[in-house]
Amino acid sequence: MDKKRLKYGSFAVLLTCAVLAVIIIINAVFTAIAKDKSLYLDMTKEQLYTISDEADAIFSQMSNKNIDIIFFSEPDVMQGYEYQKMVHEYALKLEDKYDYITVKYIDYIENPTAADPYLSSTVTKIKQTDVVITNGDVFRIVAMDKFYTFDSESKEVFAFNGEYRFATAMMQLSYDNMLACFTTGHGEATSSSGMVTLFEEAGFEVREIDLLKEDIPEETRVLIINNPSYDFSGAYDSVNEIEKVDSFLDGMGNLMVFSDPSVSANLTNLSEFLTEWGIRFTPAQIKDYSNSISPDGLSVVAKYTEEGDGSSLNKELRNLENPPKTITSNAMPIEILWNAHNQISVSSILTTEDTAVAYSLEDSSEVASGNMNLMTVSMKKTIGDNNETYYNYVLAAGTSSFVDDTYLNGNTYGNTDIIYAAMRAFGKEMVPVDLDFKVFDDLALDVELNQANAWTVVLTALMPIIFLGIGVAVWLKRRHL
Amino acid sequence: MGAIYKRELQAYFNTGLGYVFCAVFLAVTGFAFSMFTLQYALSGTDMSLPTYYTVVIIASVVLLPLLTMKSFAEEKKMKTEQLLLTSPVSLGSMVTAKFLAALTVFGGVLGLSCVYFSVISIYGTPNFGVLYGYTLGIFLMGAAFIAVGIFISSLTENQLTAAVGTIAVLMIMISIAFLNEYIDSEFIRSILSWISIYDRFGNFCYGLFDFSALLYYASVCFAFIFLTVRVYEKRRWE
Repeated sequence: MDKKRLKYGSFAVLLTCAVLAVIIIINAVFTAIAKDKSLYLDMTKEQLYTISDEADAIFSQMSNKNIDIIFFSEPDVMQGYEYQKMVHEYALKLEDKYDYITVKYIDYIENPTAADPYLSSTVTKIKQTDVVITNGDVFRIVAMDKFYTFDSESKEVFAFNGEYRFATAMMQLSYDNMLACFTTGHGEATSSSGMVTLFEEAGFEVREIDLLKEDIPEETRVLIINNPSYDFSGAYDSVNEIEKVDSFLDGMGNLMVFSDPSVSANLTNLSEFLTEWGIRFTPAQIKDYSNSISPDGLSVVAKYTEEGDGSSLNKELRNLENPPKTITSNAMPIEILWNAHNQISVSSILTTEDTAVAYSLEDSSEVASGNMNLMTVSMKKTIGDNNETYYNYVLAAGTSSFVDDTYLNGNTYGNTDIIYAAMRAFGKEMVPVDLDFKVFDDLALDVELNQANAWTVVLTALMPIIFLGIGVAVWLKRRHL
Repeated sequence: MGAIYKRELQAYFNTGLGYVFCAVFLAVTGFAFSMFTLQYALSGTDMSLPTYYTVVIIASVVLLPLLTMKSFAEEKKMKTEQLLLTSPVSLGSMVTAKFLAALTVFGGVLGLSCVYFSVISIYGTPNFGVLYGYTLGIFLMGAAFIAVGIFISSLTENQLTAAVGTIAVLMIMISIAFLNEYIDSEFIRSILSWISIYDRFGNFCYGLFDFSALLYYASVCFAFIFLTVRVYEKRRWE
């Protein structure tokens, strides 16, 4: 009787429901654990979803911080978008591995004002795909495209750069801000420059400074002279701006100078000062019709130097399988006056190819041709009181459009990496040096039309015909038995 | 159980069903594979393996019910289920044997489709780890489909009804998460995604081998085999 009640009837229904409930509960619990602990196997070749050892070494050093990674979409919504999903999954991995990292979500559609704390005078709108990384009151906003690397020719995404982005943002939030000052008062177009954003993203506090009215703050790490139209005041003027720059460099500061060929001839005091650092701008315009991305030959694709101190700033780019192009547009040659003098050594970072020609701005006559310097670095070595060696740098580029938004945004060109490399030289703790982007699995096939068509027929018909043939044979055999 | 398994397996290939199933499945997947890999490459586009596997899933939804429709429906129609119900073999073993027989046919033909990977390795550098991960995910999904099909087959004596019913249920299970676009509640969306067989496969498309999806598919198999056994337990004692 008891057995029958167990087998059928209401007890059987209860038993069935209980078993199904247990299955559902086990699944629900395991799914929740799997989501929380990221319980999956990363099968991609480049381990896109795995924290590399190099990244682990960086993230492990920040355990005394309190990092929040904030997404403006709900987690299940992001699952449906490949690029957001990848960034989200990586963030979850970070949260799982490091106690000081928390992933949070703001429903931007339900609650659009929730993003207001992250707005500023330079950031007036946050996109739903942006990621905000905070450490207490300080934060960084990272656009979704910054987590990826784009091919410079096809403009398509080919690698995941998330590890670098997360590490950079967290490192920037973890260290005291360094100061980068952009000079003003000489026609510089600083406020609209992508360079400002670049320095801010690298962890610098950015200020504009009018050297006629104020001194360079002591905590300044880098002074940037960004395409001045008018000269700096010198020894014969009431306020000597050049002397302030000189004192700054004597105090182990670093200088970046970007100058346009059309106005460099006006910058007498600045040019004379730069000769003390072994360089001189040549007021001419470079064209290279064989190595340019524009038909007028002015947007020159630079060649990476392979020797000298300057080569260390382009080493990572040079060593890539497909190095991105670094573009110098409307550039003038930089003459290196000497290679080493007074503890200062000068070397090239970028040059033109052999096919480049420089034309005078006055009469368009040819003034130089062949390999010409497009970007140089002058490095001064100082032995301190405690016998430690210190370096400071003057980086010069014979173009003002090296730092154009076109070349700085989107990870398409190498311009950004050159500037980051210079920043690393100026302050090693700022930018993670050993984190490469992770290339997606190669899904390209090199096949010709007749091969593809032949395989289409074979794959579609061969095995089915074999099976049908065997089936017919078996059927015929059984018919005649 | 071994005897039932062998008998069921032989039955697929003594009639035309097994051959037709294999031929149609391989034709559909072979054509889809070449379309979304080789033909795509001719137009300069990268391979779209997620699209290919979506076709495989849809093909499985349509074709696997043809394998399972006769599992129990035919027994009932031919009045041979009395033999099953009075057999000394346990119902669990019997259902499992039928399940395994259908799974063997599906697994065999899916394994044969892995030959396609060698074709793309001639012209590119595919990631075989991801490809085999995909294949395992499809195999487990197919196992879940077969379990559902066997259960529905046990509910009816009409094979056509069993096949159509299975296709309908599988389509619902696959597409239920498409409703998420229209639902504001994250809780409800999570439940629908949790139920959706297709959403569970999503991580495989991104190169992630998802252990929770494995448990899910295994649970679906167990649940529907269990329900099939319960159906026959009830019949045995009626």
